[in-house]
Formats: sequence, structure tokens, C-alpha cells
Amino acid sequence: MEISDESAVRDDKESPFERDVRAVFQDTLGLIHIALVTHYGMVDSEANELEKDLYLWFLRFCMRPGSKSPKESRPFLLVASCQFAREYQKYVIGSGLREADPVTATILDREPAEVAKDFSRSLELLTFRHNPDA
Amino acid sequence: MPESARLLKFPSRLAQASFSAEDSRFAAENLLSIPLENRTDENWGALELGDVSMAVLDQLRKDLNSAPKRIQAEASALFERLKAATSVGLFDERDYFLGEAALLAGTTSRLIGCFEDAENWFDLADISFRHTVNSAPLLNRVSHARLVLRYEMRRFTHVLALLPSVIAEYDRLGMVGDSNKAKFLHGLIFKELGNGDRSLECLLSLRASFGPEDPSFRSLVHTNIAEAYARRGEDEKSLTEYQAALAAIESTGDHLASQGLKASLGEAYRVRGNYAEAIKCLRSAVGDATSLRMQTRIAYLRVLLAEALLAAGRDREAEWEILAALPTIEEQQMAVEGVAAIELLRRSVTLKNTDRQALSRLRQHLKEN
Repeated sequence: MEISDESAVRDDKESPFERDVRAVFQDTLGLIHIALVTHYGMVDSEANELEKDLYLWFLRFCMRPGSKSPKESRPFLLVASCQFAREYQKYVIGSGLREADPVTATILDREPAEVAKDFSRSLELLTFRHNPDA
Repeated sequence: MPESARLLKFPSRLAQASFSAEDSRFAAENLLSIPLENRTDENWGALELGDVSMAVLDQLRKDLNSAPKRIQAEASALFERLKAATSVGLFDERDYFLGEAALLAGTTSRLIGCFEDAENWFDLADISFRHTVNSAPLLNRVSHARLVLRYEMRRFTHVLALLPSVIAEYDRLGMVGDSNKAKFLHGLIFKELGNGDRSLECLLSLRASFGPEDPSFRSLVHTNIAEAYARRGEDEKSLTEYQAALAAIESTGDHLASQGLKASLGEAYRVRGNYAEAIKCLRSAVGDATSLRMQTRIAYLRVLLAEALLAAGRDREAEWEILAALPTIEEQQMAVEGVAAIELLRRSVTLKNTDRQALSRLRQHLKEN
């Protein structure tokens, strides 16, 4: 899975910091996609578009004063993903473009930070599987 | 559309195309090169892109110390524009940019002596940052800015009580640069409260933690260490620290740090009887403060300069400096307890026979206030 089509052409201009952010984002993208599609009920194309915005946001977020390394900032990326997805679905359902199924309705009722926490656990598990000695 | 959905701009997400750092900087410089009064809605529209808003804030932060009055006006205008805009950046970025603009406006308000405005701006920064993801580091910077303001308002015991928790939070968050600045403030507070040893200890501990970045701050620390050594009569060490401070400040164009350093150097020369060097340094400090439009600071520096000029036997020049300083000192109530000294001084200057004791008393009042 890859992010943004347009951002691929910018690779040569990327600073080491941007490369680091991109790598972390890329590592987390699978989980984010699951969150958006499976849990928040977005279709693939919507999720792909949202992921581009999430990458831009995450890159700038990591530049804010007091932000830790991109890797350490991953939990915030998950919170943002859940918040983004929730607001999007609320917007779509609120505008009458889509009806909420019971599963989506349940997750929309939950706080995004809470949902992200569950995903963070999956992330920890994933990291552990990739690197059990870490 | 539900209120919460306004966070997103899904129907127009193409507007959030990514800008390279270089393009963003160019767009920011372009926007800021247009005089505030001539800027159109179209010009301001560039802020919709998160990369450009971020670059504008970076640019303003860079000029914070060298042009506080201009940055205050820019940051205030930026805040109002961001507040009125319907679409800025992504997700929580509007609140983040609003917080940064308010923090800048507050800091510059403090620098130009508008303390009440600074308090209001810090409240706005606080409110905005609260809506961001990971607000803890941002809110701690606001708490720190508030304590610097209280320091300027001479509420030292209050700052001393609250500062350790700000430092602890910075350390917990791994914000080394900000933590150093808070520790520096700690050193200044000890000095103001008369604990010179503790103050020097704080400042010396900072010297070991410097990297090559932030030369202005490094210079400020060296200057304060130099002053501490000078108070102890350790002239050799003091001079070494002043040299380090000068080396750090060179080529930064930071007039704020530079005027402070030149004032300290000027005073050191005056006390040692080297009046020619003292006058040179203090005149240059007045020049730097004038370019920053720091009215109260200019008045204070003119009083120091007048003392050096009198000591050098250049009485007429001293009179001019005193006459230039007195209106601000009175208007801004810079020496409420020094009214008698001001009156004596004014009369003596009118008679072209400057009362040196009254001048010295006034300087003391100004220093204390």
C-alpha cells in the first residue's frame, strides 16, 4: 500500500526528516486503512483520499514544537485518523448521502481517542511481531 | 452540516495540495512583503494551505526579537484572519495556527511593554491550543510565556513558585531548548531575589548544555554570567563571558539581545572608569533599542548614558540625553518612587548644572522597577 500519487514525485526533494516521517507513516498505513475501511465503514477510494490528507497533517504535526520523533508520534497519528474518519462519516451520514449501519453507528458513538487506543495496542503487537527483541 | 464536520474540507480537499518547504517559504515571504494595509483577501487566501500558514509563522518567529513591533502587528492580523477563515489547513491545524499566532502576538506585546495585551493574547493561545492533538507541549509553552510576563511585572515570588513545574514538564516532554530557557529564567529570578550564588549556579549549569543552535539565547546566558562575575569582582572571568556573548551574537541581527549586551558592557566599562568605551557601548545600545521602538528601554539606556557622559565631563550631551528620557519615564510611570529625583534633575538640567546625585538616584529607581 502506498500513499499519495503526487507526493511520489517529491522524493528527491525530501529531507531526512521527511523521509523518516514517510517511513513511519508507511509502516502505520495498513493499520490506518483497516481503521478507516473496516471500522469506520469508508470505501477504499475515500480512505485513500483521506490517507493523503493524513500524511500531510502528520508531516506538519511532527514539526510542531515539542513533538517527539515520528515513531513516537504514531499514537497521535492514530487518534487523528480515527477523528478524521469519524468526522467524515458524520458529515456523509449527516448530509443524507449514506445511511449508518449499526456497526458504524456504534463506532461513531465512541470517542476517537478511545478507538485509537485499541489500535495502538494492535500497533504494539505488530511492532512486537516484527521485532520481538526490541 | 453538523458543527463538528466543519473541521474537514472533504468536498474541496484538492485545495490541500502539498507544497515543498521552498515553495511554502516563497509564498510566505510573498505574503509578508505586502504591507499589512494593502493586503487583499486574495493575498490572505494563501493561508488556507497548511504549509504556507506554517511558513508564515516560522518567518514571523525568526524576526521576533529584531522587529517586535512589526511582528506584533503581523501576528495580531494573522490571528484575526485565521479566526475569520472558513478553511485553514487540516484537522486541528486551524486551532494550532491560531494558538501560535496568539502566542507570538503575546510575546511581542510583552517585548514592547504592552503587558495587559500580552495577557489577553496568552489566554487566546491557551484556548486555541486546548483543541489540538497533543496539547501538552503547546500549553506548557504558554505557561512559560505567562511566567516570563510575570517576571517582567516583577512578580518574582510568584514565578519562583510556579517555574519548577514548567521546567519539570519540559523535561518530561524532552523539550531541551525550552527547558533551558525556563532554567535561565530561574537563574534571573534568584538574582532578583538577591541569591547571587544560586543564580550563578543556574546559569553555569546551562553553559554546558548549549549546542550550536540559538546563538541569541547563548549570548544572553553568557551576558548574565558575565554580570554575575562582575558583581563578585571577578573581572577576568566576566570579560571572558562577555567575549563569548559577543561572539555568539555577531551576525544574528538580533537587536534585542545586542542592546542588552551592549548596555551591560557599557555599565561594566563605566564602573571601571573607561568612560569612552562605556559611552560607545551605551550609545550603540540606545541605537538598537530605538530600532526596536522599545520606549521604556530607550529611556533607561539614556539615563545610563547620561551618567557615563557626566563622568566623562561631557555635561551638555548628558543634559540632552536626560531631557530625551524624562518624558517617557514620567508618562510610563517608570519610577513612581523617584518623583523627587526627577524633579530635582529636571530643575538642575534647566539650570545647566546637572544634579549627579539625583541622576544616580533615578537610575537606581529605574533599575529597581
